[in-house]
Amino acid sequence: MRMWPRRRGRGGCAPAVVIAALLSVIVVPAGAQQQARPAIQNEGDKQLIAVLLRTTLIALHQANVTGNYTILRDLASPTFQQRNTAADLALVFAPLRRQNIDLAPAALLQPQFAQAPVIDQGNMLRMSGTLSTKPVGVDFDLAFQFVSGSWRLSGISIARAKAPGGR
Amino acid sequence: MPRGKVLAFVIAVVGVVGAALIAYVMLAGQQAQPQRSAIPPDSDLVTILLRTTVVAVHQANITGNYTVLHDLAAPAFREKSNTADLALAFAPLRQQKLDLTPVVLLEPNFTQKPAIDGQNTLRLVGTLQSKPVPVAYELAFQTVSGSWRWSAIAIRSAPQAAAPPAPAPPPSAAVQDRSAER
Repeated sequence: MRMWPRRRGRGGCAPAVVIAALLSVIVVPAGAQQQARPAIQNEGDKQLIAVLLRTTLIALHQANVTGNYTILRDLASPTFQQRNTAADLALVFAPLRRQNIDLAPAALLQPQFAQAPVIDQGNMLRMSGTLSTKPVGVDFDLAFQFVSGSWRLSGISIARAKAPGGR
Repeated sequence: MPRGKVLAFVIAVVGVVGAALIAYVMLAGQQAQPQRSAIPPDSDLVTILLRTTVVAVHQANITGNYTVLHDLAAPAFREKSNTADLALAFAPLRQQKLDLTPVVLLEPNFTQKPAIDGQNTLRLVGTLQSKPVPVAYELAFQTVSGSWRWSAIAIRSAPQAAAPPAPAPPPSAAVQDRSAER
C-alpha cells in the first residue's frame, strides 16, 4: 500500500492518480528541463541525502506516534503546505499508523536505494529505496524541493516493503 | 498524583556567555544525582532515543512549532508545561541557529555511560561534534506504557568540546578521578 499526501478534495486515489497528485505539488522552474543528474557527487552530498532521509522519516514517525502532523507539514515546501493540511496528512498516513510500523530505527539503519538519488528535470531531489525495519521493512519514495537555501519535503510515500522480509 | 512526585517545570536558559548557550528544560525532581544501576540500556535504543529527540528539538526550532516535541514528552512533563514554555526555553538555542541534524550521522559520544537510575530514568549525557560549533546535551527519559518518553532536555553549544574527547569513563571512575584531584 502506498500513501501519498493528497490534494485537498481528492481522496481514495488509485496509485497512478496519487502519483499525479504528488507531481502536482512539484514546481518545475521555467527552463529547468535538463536531464536528471546524480544527486551524490561527493561525500558532502552523500551526508546530505542521509540527513534528509533520516530526519524526514523521524518526523513522520513522530507524527504517527503523536497523531500530530503539523511539524511534518511545517517542514515541507510552501507548495506542499498550500495543498495539504495537517489533517490531510493524518488521513493519508492513517493506515501506516494503524499498522504500528516503527520507523524510529530509520535513525540508524542504512537505506538500500532502489536507484541512486537524482536531481530530476524539475530540480527535485528524488530518492527511493528500502529500509529493513522490523518486523517488516518499508519502501520509501521521497521528493525534496530547494527553497530559500534548503531542501524541503515536497512528496513522500512510505509502504510495506514489497520484498519478503523487507530485505 | 502523590505530592512527592509532583514535578516542577524549570526553565533556565542562560544568556550567551561568549559563544556558549544553554537551553535547559528539566523536571526539578530529577536534578538530584541519580543512583546508577548496573543495567546498561540497549545501545541501539540509546542511539535511536538520542537521535530522534535531538531531531525533534531541531525541527521544533526551525519551524517554531513545539507541539510535537511537547506531545513526545512524558505525561508528567506535559501536565506542567505547554508549548509556549518550550518555545521560550529553547529561544536562545533557536536564535543561535545551530544545526543539530548531524546527530543522525555521528556516532554518539557519551561523556557519561548511559544508565538507568534508581528512579527508572534513562539519562544520556554527551557531546555532538557538529559544525561549526559542537554541542553538549543531557537528556532524560522515563518509561510510559512500554516506551521511553523524554522528561528532560538540556542542549547547549560547547566550543570547549571541539577537541576529540577522551573515552568516557564509567560514572564511578569519574568520581574517583575527581577525588584524586583534591
